[in-house]
Amino acid sequence: MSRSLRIDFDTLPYWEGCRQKKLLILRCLACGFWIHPPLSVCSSCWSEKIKPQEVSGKASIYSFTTTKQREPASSFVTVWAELREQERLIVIGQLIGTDPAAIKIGDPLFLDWLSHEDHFVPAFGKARG
Amino acid sequence: MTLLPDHQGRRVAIAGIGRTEFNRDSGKSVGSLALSAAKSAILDAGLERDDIDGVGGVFCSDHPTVWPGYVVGGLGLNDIRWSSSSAPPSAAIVLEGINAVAAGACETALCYHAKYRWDVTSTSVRNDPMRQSPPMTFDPHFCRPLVSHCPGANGFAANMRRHMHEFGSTREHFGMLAVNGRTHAQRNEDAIFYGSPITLSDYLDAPRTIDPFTLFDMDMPIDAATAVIVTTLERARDLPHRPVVVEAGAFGASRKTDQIFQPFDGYFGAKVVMDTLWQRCGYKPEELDVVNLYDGFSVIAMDWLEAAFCTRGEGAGLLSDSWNEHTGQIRLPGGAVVNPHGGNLSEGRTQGMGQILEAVLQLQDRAGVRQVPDARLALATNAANPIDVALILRADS
Repeated sequence: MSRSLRIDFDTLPYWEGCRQKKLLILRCLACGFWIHPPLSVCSSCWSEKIKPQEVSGKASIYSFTTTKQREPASSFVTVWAELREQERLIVIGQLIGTDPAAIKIGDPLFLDWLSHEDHFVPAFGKARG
Repeated sequence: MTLLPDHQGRRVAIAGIGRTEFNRDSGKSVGSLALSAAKSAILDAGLERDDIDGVGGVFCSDHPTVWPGYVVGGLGLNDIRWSSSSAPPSAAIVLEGINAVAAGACETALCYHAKYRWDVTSTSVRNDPMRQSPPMTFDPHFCRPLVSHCPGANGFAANMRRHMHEFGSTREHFGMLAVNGRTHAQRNEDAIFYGSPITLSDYLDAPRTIDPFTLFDMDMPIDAATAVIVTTLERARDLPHRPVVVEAGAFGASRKTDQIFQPFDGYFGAKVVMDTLWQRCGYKPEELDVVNLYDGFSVIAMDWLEAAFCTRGEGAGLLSDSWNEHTGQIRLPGGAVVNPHGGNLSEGRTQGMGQILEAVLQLQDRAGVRQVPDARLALATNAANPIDVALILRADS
C-alpha cells in the first residue's frame, strides 16, 4: 500500500475495506459503540472486543472547508461527514459531484469513492432530501 | 494576595527569557535555534552554566524538535538533576519546569521550545530538502492522502464554520481577533508582521484560502526558538530582573481528543484549565492587565476567550463589546490588553511560547514601546484540545 498511509494493526482493516470500496468502521461488540479513528479499546465501555463492520454510508455535513491551491491552481471541498450510525461519528472526505456553493451544514450525504494511488479513499456527494 | 496552597510546594518564579530572531529563513537547524535561545535565557536571568540543574524541552519524534539531551550536551551543562520532554502544547514544558521546581526536583530549570518551517506546515518548503518532516506517524484521520497538505488548518477552519453555525458568530468576530494582534505587532519590531498593519476590511476582503479561513486566520510559520528560566521565588529575588511569580498553572483535557483534525471541542479542555486557575489563584478575570490568548488559528483564541471570560458561544458578543474600530484593538472587561506582542498570528508561530515571553516582559516592565502601564497580572494560554495549558503570572511586589 501507499507510503503516505499510516497503517498499523488498528488501521489495517479500514484500508483493506477501502481497497474494496467498503467503509469499515470499528465497532465494540460489548456495547455497540462505533469507534473512529480506529482504537483497540472501546472509549465508551473499555471493552477490547472490537470488530470492523460496514456502515450504511448515509451521513450529513457536520462541517466543511474549501481549500484553494496555487500550484496547480485548483480547489476542493473537504467534508466532515457525520455518519448516520452514531452522533459525532465522523469520517473526513472530499466532496465530489456537487456544487460547493450549494451545500450547508446538516445537508445529507451519500458515500462515494475516489481512487488514490493503488486503492480508494472515501468521498461524499450531496444526497437528495 | 492569595498564596498557592501548601500542596503545590515551593513558590516559583520566572527569572529570565531567551529567544532567537523570528524569521522565515534563519539558515539554522532546529538544534542550533534551541541552543541559541537556551543560552540567551540563562544569560538574561543573570545566571551561569552551572546554575542550571534542570532542562526540559518540547520534543516530538515526528516533528522537527530536539530532546533535552541535545541541549545538555550542546551547552556543556553539568549535574542536571531534572529533565523532561514534553509533547506539544509548547507551554506544557514551562509548567513541567514550574512543577519540578515547586516539588524540589531541581532549583533552576531551563525550559525551551524550538521549531522551524517544515514541509507539513509551510507550503513554500514542500520541496526543500533541508526542511522535510521526520517519518509520518501521526495521521489519525487518514487526512494526508485526502487533503494532501496542511491538514491541521482544514480541521480548525471546519471548527470555525461550526462555531458560526452553532453560535451565530461571524467572520467579523474572528477578524477582530486577527486585526487586534496585527495592530499590536506594529509596536513589536521582532514580529514577523511588523510594518504590515491590516484593518477589519482587509480581513473581510481577503481571499479565503481554506474557506472560511483567510491567511489572517493562520499563524505564520517561522524559524523560532524560545526559552525561559524557572527558579524558586527566593532565588529569583537575588537575580537582576523583577521576578515573575507563578500564581497558578494548570493542564486540562476533556471530551474527544481527536487532535487537530476534529478540534470541535477545544473549549472544554480550555474550560478545565481556566476553572482550575481561578480556583487556585483566587483572582478574577477582570483583574488581569494582560491576556495572552494562544492563537495558532484565530478560532482557538475564541475558545480561550470564552473559557476565560464568558462561556461557550458568548465570545462573539464579548468581542463586539470589547472591540474598538478606531484603535483596531480589543480591550476586555477590566481593561486588559490582548496579545500586546501580536499573538502567534502576527508575531509568528512560536506555538504559544510567545504568549509566555510577552507576559514575562510586560510584568518585568521590559516591553518597551508596547509596555502596558502598571501591568501586574497576566494570563498566558496555549493549545487547543486535547491537552491545554495556561499560567497566571504576577509581577513580584
